[in-house]
Amino acid sequence: MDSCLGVEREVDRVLSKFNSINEHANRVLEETSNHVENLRQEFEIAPSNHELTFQQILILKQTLNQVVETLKRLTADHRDLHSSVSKVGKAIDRHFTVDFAACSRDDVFSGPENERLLNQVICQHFYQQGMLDIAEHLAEEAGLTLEEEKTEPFSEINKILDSLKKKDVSIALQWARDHKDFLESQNSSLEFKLHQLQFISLIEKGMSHQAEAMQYARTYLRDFVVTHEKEIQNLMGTFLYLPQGLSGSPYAHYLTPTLWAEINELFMRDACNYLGLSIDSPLSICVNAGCTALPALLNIKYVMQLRQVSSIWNGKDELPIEIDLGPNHQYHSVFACPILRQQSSEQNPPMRLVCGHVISRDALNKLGHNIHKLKCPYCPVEQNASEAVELKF
Amino acid sequence: MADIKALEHPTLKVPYELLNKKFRSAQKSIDREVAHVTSAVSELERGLSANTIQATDITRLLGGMVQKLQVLKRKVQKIYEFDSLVFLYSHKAEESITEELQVGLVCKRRLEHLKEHASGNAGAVSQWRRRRLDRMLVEYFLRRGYYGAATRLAHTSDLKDLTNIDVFLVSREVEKSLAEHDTSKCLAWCHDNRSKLRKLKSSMEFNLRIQEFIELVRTDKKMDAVKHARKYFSTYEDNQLEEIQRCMALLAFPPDTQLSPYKELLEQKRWDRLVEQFRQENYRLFQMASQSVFTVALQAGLSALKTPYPFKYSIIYLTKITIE
Repeated sequence: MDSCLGVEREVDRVLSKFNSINEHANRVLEETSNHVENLRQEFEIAPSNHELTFQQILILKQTLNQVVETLKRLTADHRDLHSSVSKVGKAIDRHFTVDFAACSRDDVFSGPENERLLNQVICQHFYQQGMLDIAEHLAEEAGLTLEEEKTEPFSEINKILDSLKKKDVSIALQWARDHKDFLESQNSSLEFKLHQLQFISLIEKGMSHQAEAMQYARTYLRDFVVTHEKEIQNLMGTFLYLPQGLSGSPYAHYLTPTLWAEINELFMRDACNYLGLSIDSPLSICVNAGCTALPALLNIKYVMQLRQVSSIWNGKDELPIEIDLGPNHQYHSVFACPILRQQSSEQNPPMRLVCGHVISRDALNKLGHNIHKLKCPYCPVEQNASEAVELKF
Repeated sequence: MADIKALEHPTLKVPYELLNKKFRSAQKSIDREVAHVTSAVSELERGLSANTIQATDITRLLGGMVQKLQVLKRKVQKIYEFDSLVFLYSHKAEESITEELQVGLVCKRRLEHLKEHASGNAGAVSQWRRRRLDRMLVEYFLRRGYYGAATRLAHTSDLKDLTNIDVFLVSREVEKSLAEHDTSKCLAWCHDNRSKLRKLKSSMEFNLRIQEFIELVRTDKKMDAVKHARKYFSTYEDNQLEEIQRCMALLAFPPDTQLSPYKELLEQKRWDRLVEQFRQENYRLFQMASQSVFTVALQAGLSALKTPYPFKYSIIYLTKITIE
């Protein structure tokens, strides 16, 4: 914040100076040219063979001096602004990091193959954001071929989102019905929420649609009585206020537009879940993580250069420090096997021994390869290899 | 807030460089017009120092001076009116300002945008982050030359004021003309930024002139080539002599020579290199880094997310890149 304010102060200063010099210049120039013009007119009405008197010459000379003087001051004033202008530049350099690329290598994303992959990831990002047209533009300009099966689910989702924006729930409902089993397994109330919105839109239309709303509730809401009893009771309460409209009633909250924003989000989350994607695109997660991490990286780089130990960080395989990205950016725990010194993976998960010590499965298999009994490498407890259980953090 | 400090330097520096440029050109044009007025003044003074002074002469001279003054005033005002138009268009305000002010306001608007980041509201911050990613992507697209996608994205996310898209659109024209083997636009650009380029010790203009020479030799206009060389190569810098000598030797060879290094001089690939050089010089001119903020942030993010097995789909590509 300080850095922004620091630059802003200088920018404000320059702006106000420009403003005042602009006004000043206009006024002065107006005056001068009027003055000279008046003089000219005076001479014009004089008889053509009139010779100038000594006094007239004096006045003229004075005027000329004045004009030269004002103009000089004008240019000097403008030139003096230069220091304020360059102060802005200096303030920017001081408050912001000039060399933000200090700890990254420029060859990481170059080369045709890497470029293609990166562009593909960006395309995916735009699909997930629902910005199809941009993804298509990019694909065209970058010469990507979009794989049909990858884009298809996204275009379906975007179609539904578009219709939701137009307050039309029918396509979304169809989707929810098609994926009923999945949604139930996720404990999602998407379908009910959609029906609820539809019901409310009928109620909003007033008395003339009373029968229709009643019919709708009977047909569709019945299935949800078990899971959403309370909500359905509330919805039924709206019938009481049907003649006057809901706006003045205790049920006015059903009319707020936030319900639509919520359903958008809910749908997006469920759809992404269904496709096995996180709701934020991988690209945005990565970039945001990078934005958090970069200041720390730049800092450590700077300190290392200061201490002249920058060679320690060869920038190839690992970072010199641990960077805390906050709880949002932890996706799974990392376990490194103390025996094999390898990071665990899906194929090689951490295993808990009877004594409570943990090693990786590969290590366990090696230890228990020939003999059935194995000894914990940390404590002398003997056990059977099959007794170890997989650990999930 | 630290991320803003680390990443937003180009966001502010580019409009500053524009401001600086505008300031210089404004100063130059004011200086020029003032010089015209002063020359009119000295003419009048000469007229006044004559022995007999005719009123008609003086009237004429005064008339000339008024004219010059009017021109000066118009010059100042022209900037002023043009800008007030832009200003009205973008701000709907009545107040009018100069061109310099206009650019200064771009700085200001970007600062306002950066300050939004500090609002405590979580929703606003995540919204801000989304826009930041879009900004980064616009810049990345521009650097890669995906202008269609860039303008489109800037338009949809309303980022025109917050990205340096205009700077790139100018350079796009130059790049296009260079790709068509036309040096005129790039030379005009060199002329436009001459003092700055000299300070950066740029060899852009020299390389363009060399290329022109080569093209003349290629089309067998050897006399024209010699004339061209006389005109442009005579004022060379210390380190350029060798290259000039090599170029001049090219006159002795036919355009289809297989002899190195003359064969290389005649290669079409040199044009691509000129385009690349122009891009880099343009970045330097506006103090932009050679890497885009997007790739830098992405790289840092990939290194910092300590997980070799992240998301199922696309990110696997990305990790592949960094692990390799």
